[in-house]
Amino acid sequence: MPSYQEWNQAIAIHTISIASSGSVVFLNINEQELRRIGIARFRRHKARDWLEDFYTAIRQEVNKNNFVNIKHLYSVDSDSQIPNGVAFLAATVLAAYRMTDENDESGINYFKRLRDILDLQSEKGGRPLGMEGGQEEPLWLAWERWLNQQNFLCGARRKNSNYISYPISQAILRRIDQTSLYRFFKEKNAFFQTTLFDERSLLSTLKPFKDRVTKHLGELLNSQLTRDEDELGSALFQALEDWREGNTSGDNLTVQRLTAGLYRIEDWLSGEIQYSLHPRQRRGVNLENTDVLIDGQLFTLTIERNGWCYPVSNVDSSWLEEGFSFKTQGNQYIHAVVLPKRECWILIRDPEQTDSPDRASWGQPILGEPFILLAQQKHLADLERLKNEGYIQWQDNPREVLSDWLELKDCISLMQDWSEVIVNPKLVEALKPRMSLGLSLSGGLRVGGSWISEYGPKLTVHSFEQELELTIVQLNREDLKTANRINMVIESNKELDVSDWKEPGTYQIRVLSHGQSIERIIGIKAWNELVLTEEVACEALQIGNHQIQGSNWLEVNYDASKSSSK
Amino acid sequence: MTHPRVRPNKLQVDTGKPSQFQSNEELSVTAQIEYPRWFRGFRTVGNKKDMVQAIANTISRYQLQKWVASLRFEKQARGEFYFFIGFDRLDFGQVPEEIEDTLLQLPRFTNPIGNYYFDQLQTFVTGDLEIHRYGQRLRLPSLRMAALEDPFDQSDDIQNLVDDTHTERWDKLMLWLSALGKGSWETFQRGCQQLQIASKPRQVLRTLRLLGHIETSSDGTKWSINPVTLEGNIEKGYLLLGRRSDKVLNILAQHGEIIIQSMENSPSRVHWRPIDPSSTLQISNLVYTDAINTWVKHLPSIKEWQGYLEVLPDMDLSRFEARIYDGQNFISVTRVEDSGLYQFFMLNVQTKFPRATLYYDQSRKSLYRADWYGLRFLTLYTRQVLHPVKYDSKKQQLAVILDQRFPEFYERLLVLSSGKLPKSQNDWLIYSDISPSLMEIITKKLHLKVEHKNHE
Repeated sequence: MPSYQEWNQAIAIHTISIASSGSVVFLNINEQELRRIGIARFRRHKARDWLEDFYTAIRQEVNKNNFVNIKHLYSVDSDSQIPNGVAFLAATVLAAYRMTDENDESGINYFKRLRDILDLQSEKGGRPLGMEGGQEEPLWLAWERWLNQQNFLCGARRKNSNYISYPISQAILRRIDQTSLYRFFKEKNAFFQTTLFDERSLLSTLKPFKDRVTKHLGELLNSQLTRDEDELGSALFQALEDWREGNTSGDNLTVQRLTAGLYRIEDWLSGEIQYSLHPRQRRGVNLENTDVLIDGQLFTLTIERNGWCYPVSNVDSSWLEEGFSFKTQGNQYIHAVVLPKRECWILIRDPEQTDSPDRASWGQPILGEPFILLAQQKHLADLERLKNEGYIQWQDNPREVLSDWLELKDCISLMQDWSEVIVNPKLVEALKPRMSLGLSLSGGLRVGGSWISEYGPKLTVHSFEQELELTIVQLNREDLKTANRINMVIESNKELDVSDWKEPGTYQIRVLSHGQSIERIIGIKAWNELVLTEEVACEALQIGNHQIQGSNWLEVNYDASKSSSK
Repeated sequence: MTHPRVRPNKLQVDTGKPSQFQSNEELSVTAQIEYPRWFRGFRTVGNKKDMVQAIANTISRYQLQKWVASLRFEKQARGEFYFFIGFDRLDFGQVPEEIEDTLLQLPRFTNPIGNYYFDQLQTFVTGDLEIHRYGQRLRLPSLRMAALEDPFDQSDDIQNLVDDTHTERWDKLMLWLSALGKGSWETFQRGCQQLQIASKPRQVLRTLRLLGHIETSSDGTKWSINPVTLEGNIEKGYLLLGRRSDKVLNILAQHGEIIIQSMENSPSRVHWRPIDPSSTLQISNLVYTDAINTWVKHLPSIKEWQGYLEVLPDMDLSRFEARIYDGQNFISVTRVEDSGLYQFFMLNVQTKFPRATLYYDQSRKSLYRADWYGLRFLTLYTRQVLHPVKYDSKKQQLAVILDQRFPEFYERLLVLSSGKLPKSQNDWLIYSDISPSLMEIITKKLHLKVEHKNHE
């Protein structure tokens, strides 16, 4: 049976497994997630009830005669540097997930669930012994520190002095939220059974129905906080998958569908544009041996980076109209890859290789960031109206790149308030800026989510305001005390060289304007911290039946087992 | 901090200019288009070497590198001669005070003769001396165009002068590329700019390919760094090619003798000789190669090589202006008919740079894509105007005429033989550590005659 330490490590790794650098990470744990972690991470152990195993490991670690002993978890693992309290925090999030009372200010409901999970035998309610006065908070701070060191932002937040707001903020969809969603899906059974969604299109579809679900979920759907959107979209999509597969009790592991976006490359010589399917990875779903069947041809899915596979197969415009579902083979936990139905696609630059000319539906553009808009021809009149009224702009003439689909290059959304616009609401939802602040980093020498010492990024903050407040703080590894603080007023919409980025470390960049803020975490690495990428060299010089890499002369269809590698 | 009271509701984006999200490279291309390099000519007399030294010192002292890019001399200049200083990032004919008050005050600059674009000078001047880059370590080979003189006569006098700070930047580039693994051409360009390695990132890329460190896609838009490779054999030791990191160098140092040699215009050359040849190094995906023996077995002839080149699918030539290579210059043509090397410029795009340089084979009615030197060599081979190479068996040096450089694939084999780039001298490229057998096979495959150095 996996130990507490093994669970601790597995949950931490699982949680960041598909997160892109700089993104907000949520410790969004529920029963299905724990089962997924068990299957994906503990394959050497025999199949078992992973949930029960998790309970046993947690109880053995922290339940000392009905006293919650967590102070020893304030430390970090000496090898991996992962904080030792992650598995315990996951148990607290699981308790929040199971809460049935929407307004549990006192925490009675929450602590009852936590007592059950920790198997605390006590007649008293409220905070268990050992957790008085928020003694779990150092574990959350250690978790945040570790995430920051990995260049992620932590989604956990405390509201006022209420410590249970930490786990509640992580349980994006609680069980009662899921139940209300299942009810809503059932009401519109045919629509939700047949429409091909992805995470984002499902979120957009549900937003107008915020009054039909629980108060908590309604507030999330109504929220303007873009930092929660990806996690929320993913949780909603999972709920839809569970409902479609009849797994609403959460007792089994739902066989998944993956979603795909679009990946666009342009031949610099011929000018030819090619769109490919760009499958997304789902958290905790192992993609080993997954082949997707497209037009009678099998394509193997290969992870390209956290959250994304390499693009596969050219896109046929007929797939875009109503979306398309492609069957998969070889993996018992995945049965299809779905290209969703969308009115338009927004393609932005690669967030990790901003110089690359390739564009893909990596996510929403930040304010002020140009993007390529791929829209159905029928929307051209609406788009031109938006352009004439100054809501958006684009360069060059629209170009038909796929049958009935137009491409608009260098599009930018310009207006803050879109409430007066009378065009297709789905276009508005896709095009209106999510935030009134956008922070972009450019230049320097970048490796993944980090830059190299003395070759750090320049900053541009896009805003409707002219002046903004910028704070840059170097986060100390030992505690959250700060050093190297920069605090200045900056001009918006201008590339700025604000720091020499000499000292390696983790930096928090924060921009404030009229109560709105935007945050980024970046790492600065020393030259001697650079390590070889695991990436396999992919380019080669082709000479007849041979490929050359450096001095190595390889047969085509080269069998690695016969290589000259020692 | 005070915020403005008025809250504008529209993002300020200048529609007519590149956005701030365009890469620096895009902006610099724009800059190149707006400010093509131009030259100011001067008439002078005296010792060229001293003059170059003085210019280089001035550029360095007053940090004029961002403007002063090049120095060219009148071909075969003797006695009184002309020289031309090339400027980047400046309007034609406009020189800022920083240059007027420093460089142009040198005694050699008293007789200006005018301002020119390169195409007005190109038949008149020598090759480009990137004086801003070489300024601190100048030890010039002869500037006289002594075409087809004995290339070996002065080779002993050439010193491999290395600017260590420059090598350090190349080594940083290698560390960065090794950590990235792969990327786009634009990312590579950005890295070269950030590290201030060279004004021509394509030359940097070519250098790294020649040295066996990196490969690029056939269209040049993507690159990936090769696995950690130990090239050589037990007798002569191994060269480290491909990825490198401090950890890899430490492992090699722990298991053998390692020599790290600073090189001119390339990363450090790492030579390694194991203490115990049977020991296994803990380096993932490590590859051992012995290129000289392996490649020679498979080496194709030049005709076979042409057969392996990538044939471009139908290209809409009406979108381009074509210029054919006449052996010296590219001449505008109305139709692509004759076999040869062509530059293609996008119509209606103001640029001095071709969109593509391709080889057209009339008999096959096909356009081929390959490295620039390779296609030029193919053109010269087809026209049967290739000169013999020269070989010094005693020094194991092979000399190839600069303007008849081999296709990159063949040149890589020559470079891998020593791990060193060729030295350029008197219009020749001189490759070292070339064994007679390697020389024989490569010249045979390229249908080249060989003139042997007579040591008697």
